[in-house]
Amino acid sequence: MKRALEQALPPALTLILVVCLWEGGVRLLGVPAFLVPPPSAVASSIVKERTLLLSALGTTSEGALSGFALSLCLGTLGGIVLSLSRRLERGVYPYTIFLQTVPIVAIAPLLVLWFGTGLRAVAVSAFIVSVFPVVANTLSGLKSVDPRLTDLFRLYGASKLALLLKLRLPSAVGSMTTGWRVA
Amino acid sequence: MRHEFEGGTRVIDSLDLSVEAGSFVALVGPSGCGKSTLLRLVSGLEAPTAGTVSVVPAAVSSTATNAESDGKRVAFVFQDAHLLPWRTALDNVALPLELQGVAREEARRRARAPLRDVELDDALERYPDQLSGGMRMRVSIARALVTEPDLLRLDEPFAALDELSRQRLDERLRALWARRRMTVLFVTHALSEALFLSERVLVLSKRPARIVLDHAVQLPAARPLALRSELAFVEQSALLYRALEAHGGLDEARA
Repeated sequence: MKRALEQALPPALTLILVVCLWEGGVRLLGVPAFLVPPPSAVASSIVKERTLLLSALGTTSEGALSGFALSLCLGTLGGIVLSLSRRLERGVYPYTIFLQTVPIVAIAPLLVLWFGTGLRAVAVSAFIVSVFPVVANTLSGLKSVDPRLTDLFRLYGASKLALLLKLRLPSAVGSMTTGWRVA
Repeated sequence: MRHEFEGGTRVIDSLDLSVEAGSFVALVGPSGCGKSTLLRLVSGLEAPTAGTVSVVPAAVSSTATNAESDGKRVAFVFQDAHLLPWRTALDNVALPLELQGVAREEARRRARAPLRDVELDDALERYPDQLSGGMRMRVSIARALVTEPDLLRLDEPFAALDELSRQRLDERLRALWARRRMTVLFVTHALSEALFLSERVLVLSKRPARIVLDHAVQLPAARPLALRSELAFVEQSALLYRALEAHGGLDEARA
């Protein structure tokens, strides 16, 4: 209990200090609220508009979560498929790297045009942002299996499926969860 | 047989070797001379550039050239244990059987015997990171024995262990071989280990590898650890040492 308090105290103090400076600075300098609203104004409008804000938060979270879930399924599947054929990997992988660098802000207007402003646009942008790290990390995890262990499986005549289920997927778990965190 | 790496480096040069079924053969040579490559060729993990590798099991007269086609007869122990970290000792040993299509419970049942052979019956449900280096190596040996192979290949299996663990494992391996009489190919760079374990020691030259000495070991079948300090052992050790030295095997150590 005492330790928890000790850990929480310094960041709490920083927060209080920053909020006080912000409030005091805005009042002292007389900055109009539409340029820099003081923390008190932000807090009061949160309370006033709480129904609208809560429902918007709900939509965004729902969209983000479903987009993320979809990217986990399709991304992992995509990584597995790419790992099965070297040609396919060479043909497709460079583009997944390239697409990963496209900023979502740049395509957001298009997504709104295609899917409207609601849940679906949010889900699709969450999916686009998160699917590439999932594919990339699944693939690299599947490929970075200890070659001696692959030899071992070959020696005992393991099928491609057994190699995938008993060796490559379990070895890739660490790398895959890293991908999920990044996503 | 001859073998080159991609890019034309010749690793093995006109090597002609036949090994009697049921014998224990040690291969020694300078590091990087091609010993491990030779084992990979014998195991069918690589194909030789020229020549053939044939594995003729004692009971069968036909020649099985591809080791992969007959998983029962091959077993390989690597330089490190190479266990699956997410499987217990017992499940690691059961793995080769599972890969050959044996049901999981049956595989686990059959995996107990080889673990008993390496004196690990009290560590069945432990994971690799809960075992010492020597214990992991013993699990690795049990995994190789579980399919009751006719041919066991070991590639410097105890190189990473301390001297004492290594000598105890040598003793265990020798006892296992005496009981089961499978053919063993043992690659090592330790001359005394080669001598202690085997019936025949082949000394290889530096790359490209060829056999410079084929020595039939003259030591009693029962080999206690103290044998290493006896005259016959020391004399034969010196013989191997001279052969290795005469063919550049010690150049690297000097440099």
